[in-house]
Amino acid sequence: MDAVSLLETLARIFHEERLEVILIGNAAAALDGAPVTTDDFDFMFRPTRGNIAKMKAAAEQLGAFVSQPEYPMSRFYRMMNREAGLQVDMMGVVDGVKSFESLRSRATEVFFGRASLLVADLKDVIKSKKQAGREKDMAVLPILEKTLRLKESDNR
Amino acid sequence: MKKRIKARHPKALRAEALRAEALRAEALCSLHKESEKNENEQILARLSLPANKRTHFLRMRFSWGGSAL
Repeated sequence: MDAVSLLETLARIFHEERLEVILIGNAAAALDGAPVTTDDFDFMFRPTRGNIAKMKAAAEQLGAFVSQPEYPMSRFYRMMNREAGLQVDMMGVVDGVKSFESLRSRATEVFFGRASLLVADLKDVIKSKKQAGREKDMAVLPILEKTLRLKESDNR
Repeated sequence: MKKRIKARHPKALRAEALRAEALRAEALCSLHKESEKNENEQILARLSLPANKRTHFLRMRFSWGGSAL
């Protein structure tokens, strides 16, 4: 399924709420060129009190409810709209990522409609998946690494 | 009429098994090469698009728990 309309909606709503986020995970890898699929969108954000309020306002615009599936173990929030089949995971801490600022410094701005989203660099997605080490992350690593190799040889 | 089974020397059987194994390995090797080539072509085709056009990656969730592209 084409994710463009959902990406446009997310970019617009995050822009309207002035919530700074970076797209990570398989959705970021796909936008970086990897032939992978996903059924959700993962974002890194700074989980300050102000940003959590902005995230809740964004969820309201999306018609989604917010939950904390790993509370109190981590600052991980999930926005979900079952009717629209939308799941957006918002993470304050991401495996293999030093800080929001370091991830942002390497991210690329991609426009969807009039608003844009910051998309994590493929190298950061790979590093994060290696660090997480879950079976589903390890399964996708060879194709992400191959994409990175082809991307780098393409740029030369 | 009874069918006569011709006994074969173990060396001949072994040679035949080795030939079959070599053929299988050769077939597998060309299959791997083919899928490697297809995969590379798929990635290069994606890389040739701008990032905001590489958006066919979402699997739709179903209420019963499955998902599809």
